[in-house]
Amino acid sequence: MAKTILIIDDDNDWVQMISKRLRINGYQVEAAFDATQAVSQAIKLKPDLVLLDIRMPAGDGVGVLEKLRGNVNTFNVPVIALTGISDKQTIEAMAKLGASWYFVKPADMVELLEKIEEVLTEKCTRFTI
Amino acid sequence: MIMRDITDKRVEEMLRASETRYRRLFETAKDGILILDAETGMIVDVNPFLVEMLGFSHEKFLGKAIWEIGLFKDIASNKDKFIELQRQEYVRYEDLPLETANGRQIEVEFVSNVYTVDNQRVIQCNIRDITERKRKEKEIEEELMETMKMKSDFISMVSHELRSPLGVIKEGINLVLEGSAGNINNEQKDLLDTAKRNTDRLGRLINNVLDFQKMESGKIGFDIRENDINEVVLEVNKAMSLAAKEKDLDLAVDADDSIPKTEFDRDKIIQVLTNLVSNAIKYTEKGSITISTKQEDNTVHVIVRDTGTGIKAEDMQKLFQAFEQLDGRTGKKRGGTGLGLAISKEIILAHKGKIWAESKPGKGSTFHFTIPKKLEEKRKIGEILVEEGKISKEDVKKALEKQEKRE
Repeated sequence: MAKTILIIDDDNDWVQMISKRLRINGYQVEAAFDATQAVSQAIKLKPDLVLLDIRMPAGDGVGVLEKLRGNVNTFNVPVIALTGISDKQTIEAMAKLGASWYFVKPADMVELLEKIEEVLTEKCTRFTI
Repeated sequence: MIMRDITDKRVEEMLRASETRYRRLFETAKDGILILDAETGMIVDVNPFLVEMLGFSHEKFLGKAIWEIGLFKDIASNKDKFIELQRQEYVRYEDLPLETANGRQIEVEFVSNVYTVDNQRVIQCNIRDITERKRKEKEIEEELMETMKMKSDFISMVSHELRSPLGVIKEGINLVLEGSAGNINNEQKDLLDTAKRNTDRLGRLINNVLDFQKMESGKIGFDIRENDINEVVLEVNKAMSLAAKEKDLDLAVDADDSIPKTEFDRDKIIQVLTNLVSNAIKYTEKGSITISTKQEDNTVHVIVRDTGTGIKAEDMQKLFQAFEQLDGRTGKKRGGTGLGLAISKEIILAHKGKIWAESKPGKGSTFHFTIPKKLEEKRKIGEILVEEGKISKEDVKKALEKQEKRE
């Protein structure tokens, strides 16, 4: 059965590109464009992977991750985080909340796809600092 | 007898007048003056300005040895300093820390010289309080640092912002080109290929700008290890051979096998060599390009010679400057970013090497760079800025180091 990926990002154009790319590679893709939408969609959808933009308006990204970890339906979902200019604080927060990996935006498409593949086949689980 | 009396009186008056004059100089000088007995180090006289500067009473100074006053924090080393004062005719300390009577820390400029008067050797010390000047200098340094940091942060942010939409554009083009949005005809492919080439070029430009800015601000680390320069030359030769062949140019290597391994950052030197050879190919329409290596006493010398269009004398000056691009006689756009040589220069300077060019318009150009066989210590690029006069104060270098320690 095809794996489902939920993309949480407010950049419509980027979401359009990555979604197309992921669908070509055989994944089912859903997108959420703000924090509240994101959490409720995640709970409903129970995706196999979440691609989360940490930088979203008002730095909601970390908040979303916290909420996902706090909900029984999503506490274990693998998350790949996308950050802006990487700052230590955010990276530590993500590691603590059990993100599987992080990329600094704009991410190299090839590397991102490889990592998604790895996470979904459980070759990569958590990153530590 | 009368005449002798008058003469004696005259001389006496002159002496007294002279003494008064010098006494007044001493009393009214706007710098501290300390007179020491050269043999014992005892303070013989101290002027009012110094008394006020240091806050000790006049009496407290006299008859004490210079190190007994408790002015100098580290008494032992200052005894050594006194020995130096005695021995040398002239001593100067640009920057001596002192503590005043009420514990205030000041910085002074200290100049001393030895002379003999009435068969007594004395040391005269002139002491100037430079605390205020130093404080202002430090403020300016800090402001300069702030400005540099702001500029650097801004450039990082802009490069980052530029890269994001570029990523989306690239992906859009790739998806269509590979047929993921349906079959495309040849013309569509052609147009998209052109678009893609230019997004790649834009990406390189952004990277170059960021690289150059990082280098200028000393943020790039260098991985200095033992490497073989000839091996590097052969690798670049291989990488560039296709480009040379496409223009029907001869690309050859003339390496000196006796060159031992030297210390340098392999990737960065490859970057420099690639830049030089790619320029040579760009600016040469027919003939050959030769890369040669040779060793000199303390350096390894690499030469890239071409039979191209050459460089006009008036253009030689701007050669290694950022964003200066020479169009050659045809005025054609040569592509590239105008940063290649500027970055190459920064890399070579960071290796404490030299880079330069010679050329005869119409005959060709020769680019040289040398790197020392042994690198003493990894060089911070901030130093280059000071040397090149991009930042005017020598102390900005210190400020950069201070900032490194703070981070």
